[in-house]
Amino acid sequence: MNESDDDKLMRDHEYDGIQEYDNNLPRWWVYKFLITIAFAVVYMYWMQFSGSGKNIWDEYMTDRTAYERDEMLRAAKNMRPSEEEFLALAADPLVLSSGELVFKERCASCHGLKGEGIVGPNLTDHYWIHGGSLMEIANVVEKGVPEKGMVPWKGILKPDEIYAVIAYVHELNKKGEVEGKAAEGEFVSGGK
Amino acid sequence: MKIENSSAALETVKFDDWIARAFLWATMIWGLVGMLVGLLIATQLIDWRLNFDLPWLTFGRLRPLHTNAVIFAFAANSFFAACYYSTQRLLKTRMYSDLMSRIHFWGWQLIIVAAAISFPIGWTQGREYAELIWPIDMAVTIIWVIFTVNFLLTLWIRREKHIYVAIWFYIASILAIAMLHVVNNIQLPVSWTLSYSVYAGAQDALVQWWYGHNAVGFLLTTPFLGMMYYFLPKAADRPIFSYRLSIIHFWALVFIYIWAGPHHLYYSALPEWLQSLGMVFSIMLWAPSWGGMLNGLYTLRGAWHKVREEPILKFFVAAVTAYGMSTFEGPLLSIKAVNKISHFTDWTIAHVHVGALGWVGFMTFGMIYYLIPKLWKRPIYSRSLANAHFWIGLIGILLYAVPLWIAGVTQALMWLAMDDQGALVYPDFMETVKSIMPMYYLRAIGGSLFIIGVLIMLYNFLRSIAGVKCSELVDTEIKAAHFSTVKPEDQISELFDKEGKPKASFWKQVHRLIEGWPLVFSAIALMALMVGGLVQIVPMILVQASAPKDIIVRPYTGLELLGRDIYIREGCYNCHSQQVRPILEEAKRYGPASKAYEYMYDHPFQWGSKRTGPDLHRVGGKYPDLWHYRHLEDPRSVSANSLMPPYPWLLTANLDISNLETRLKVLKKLGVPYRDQDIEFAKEDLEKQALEFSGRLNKDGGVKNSEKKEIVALIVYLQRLGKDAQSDSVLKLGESQ
Repeated sequence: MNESDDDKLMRDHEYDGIQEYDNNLPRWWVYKFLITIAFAVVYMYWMQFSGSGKNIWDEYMTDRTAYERDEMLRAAKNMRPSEEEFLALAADPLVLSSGELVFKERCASCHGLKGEGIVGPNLTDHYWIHGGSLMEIANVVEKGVPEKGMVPWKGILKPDEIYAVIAYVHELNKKGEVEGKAAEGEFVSGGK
Repeated sequence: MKIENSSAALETVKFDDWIARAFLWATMIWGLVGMLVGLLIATQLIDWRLNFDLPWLTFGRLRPLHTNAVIFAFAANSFFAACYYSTQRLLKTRMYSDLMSRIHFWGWQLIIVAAAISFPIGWTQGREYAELIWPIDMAVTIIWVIFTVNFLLTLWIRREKHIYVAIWFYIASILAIAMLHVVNNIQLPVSWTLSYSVYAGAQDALVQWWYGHNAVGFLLTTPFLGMMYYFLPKAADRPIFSYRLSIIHFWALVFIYIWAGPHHLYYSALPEWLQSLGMVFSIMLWAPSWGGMLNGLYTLRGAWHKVREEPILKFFVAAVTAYGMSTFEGPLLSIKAVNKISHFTDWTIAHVHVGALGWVGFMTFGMIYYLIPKLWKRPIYSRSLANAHFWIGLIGILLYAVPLWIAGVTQALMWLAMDDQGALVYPDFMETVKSIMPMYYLRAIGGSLFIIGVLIMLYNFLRSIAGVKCSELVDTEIKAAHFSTVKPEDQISELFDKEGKPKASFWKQVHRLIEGWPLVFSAIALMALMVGGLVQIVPMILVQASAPKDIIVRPYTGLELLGRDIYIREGCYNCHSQQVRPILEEAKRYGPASKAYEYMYDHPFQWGSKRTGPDLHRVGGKYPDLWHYRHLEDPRSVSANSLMPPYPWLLTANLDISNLETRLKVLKKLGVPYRDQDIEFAKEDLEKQALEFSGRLNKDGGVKNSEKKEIVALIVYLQRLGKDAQSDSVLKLGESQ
């Protein structure tokens, strides 16, 4: 490699006054290039041919299976309160104020700040589309009515938040009707 | 190998300097326009009112104008200026045809004007950086062919036997762009302003990002490397550091670049082998890219004192450094695990702007300052203003990129945050937007500084050339002789010693030989460019996506299709993706991960690349119709703090159904299984569906007489998104709940 002595100008390389050296390639640059090529070969073999490479979809399914197993465990632990337990929650001002917070943040965009109804139905009257009992309300909040736009909140809100907001909606309804969206659904006496 | 022939007669050669001046003017004017539009859309993200409730000023229509302007108007014109200026000098000849040069110039400027008019109107293909409608695409093809022919014929009549590395990069750029543009824009027209891509869904995504990635490569990288190889040694008056480094990094770059497109489609419905291939080639691209940076920076060895004094060299050094940074960041972002974080966020925006502002911008500015005295025969009016431009621009770039890096990582981590109860920590998308707003302010300040720098340059330029008379602008003249031609077989025999064995320096001499045969060189470059595309795209075209047996993917109804075309017209894809990645946290947020078959009738695909708003692939049925109606009329009425512009005109404009049958017929030709009666009764079906829908809207929210309005079509389309896969058992998430 004598011809590549540092900073020796190349014979007959002259373009509009620009000349060229022919210095050796920087070593570290060559190694870097070779390492990335080696990585490429190994990675493609690992992913496509070795049978050990886990692809994105498989990893997703693994994550999901684990998640669903955890969900089942959590569901068993976080059993929905019974009607009596709910009524007890509804009597606790602390629970109600956290329920109000969740309501204003999540529910008010469709049901209005006072529950008077905007896109979603009025929650302060005595008419209920999916049943007005406490447990029926709980059902709608948790599982939603996706075809009408009611979000299934279970999984988005934490269990505490969901139970608090259910208790809050129940109390809201007891406070009496607010003028808002016209009544929809069936009359349920007592608003329960 | 003796190639100089001293006995050949010296001739006077006049360079066409007009064409270089013309393209420089265009670079400066369009550059400023493109950047100002960029600033406007950056501020629209801060305050939605800056969309002005006008269709032609909304973000979705202006963002393509910004990207296309800076790529095809600013950067391309800058490339053309550099190419015409340096090619003539490097080849010691005038361009082959002045007429072709002029047609190229005026044709290109007309194309830009056409683009600037058509995007705000809403004429678009809805494919990123390929938004131009088909008649303009045809014009681009014609003009590009004229440019190519003129360039190749100039190579043919050259007076310099060997072509210099700058020319290699020009050749690769010109051929690559021709190939990418033509293959990506194969489409069937419906009307003068509407067409459907022949590719569908995942296939369209692959072709489009093969194009999109390499448009960056061969319009923003290789032309500017060519520019660097000419202007940097000229400005520094230093020889190029290493010829062999030029050879190796050139060919490596040209061959490897093309394969990296799929890194825009990680965690998507694209087959995994393609994603992996995209990743390894992106990583292998690191060294070849840095080869250019090294050759640039090492060329300045012994000339660093000049950098302190000379604003031109400052621009070049900063540009090459920015190039090095973004070509390190590129491979980094191409690692799947990093991309999981960066994709759909502002990190990508930061990345491209380090390249666009730093590399493309600063190379161009350095070149402009270099060329003012050469082309207008006047010294630069003020060196200190040029220095001021440099520092203000540099601070601008930092203030642009750093906040968006922070914004991108912050938002991504918020999107993916899940607590130990399996709940998203930030289930509300708006929360993640609010948290990055301060960064959007900083970015706008950074962008403004960059533009102030450009204004300073324009002032400096105008003061420099003030008083120059047209009669002074004479073409530069040199004396040059033709090189003597040696028979090809004699040139080849030079490679071997007397015994017929290859000489020690065989490969280098082979390369030298090809440098003397530019057309052969071009042919080899074209082949190197084609390999990656062939290996990746051909299998995708042969293997059509197919749905699992028990699932029927329903083609869009006429009304849904018109809604989809409105979605494209308004540029919704600029802020919303339609691709839920197979990532647990993401599926939790948006719904089950998307699969390839769901897109099989999507001409073009609308996966998007940025989530300024949430993903929409599973939005169908998530909200009531009335919610969408109110949301499009005034996004903040149902979603506080939303950044989205209002679309009031959709509520009042009548849906144009005049060419509905043609649209369906064209799609049928492309393989969408419409039956004859679907086409024959298209209008009746559409009216029926619209009437039914608007009836519901009236019942639920008292919205009267909406059946003929555009908004109905758009909502019907949105409500249908992602529904075909409902019965796919593999996709269900959280069924155990």
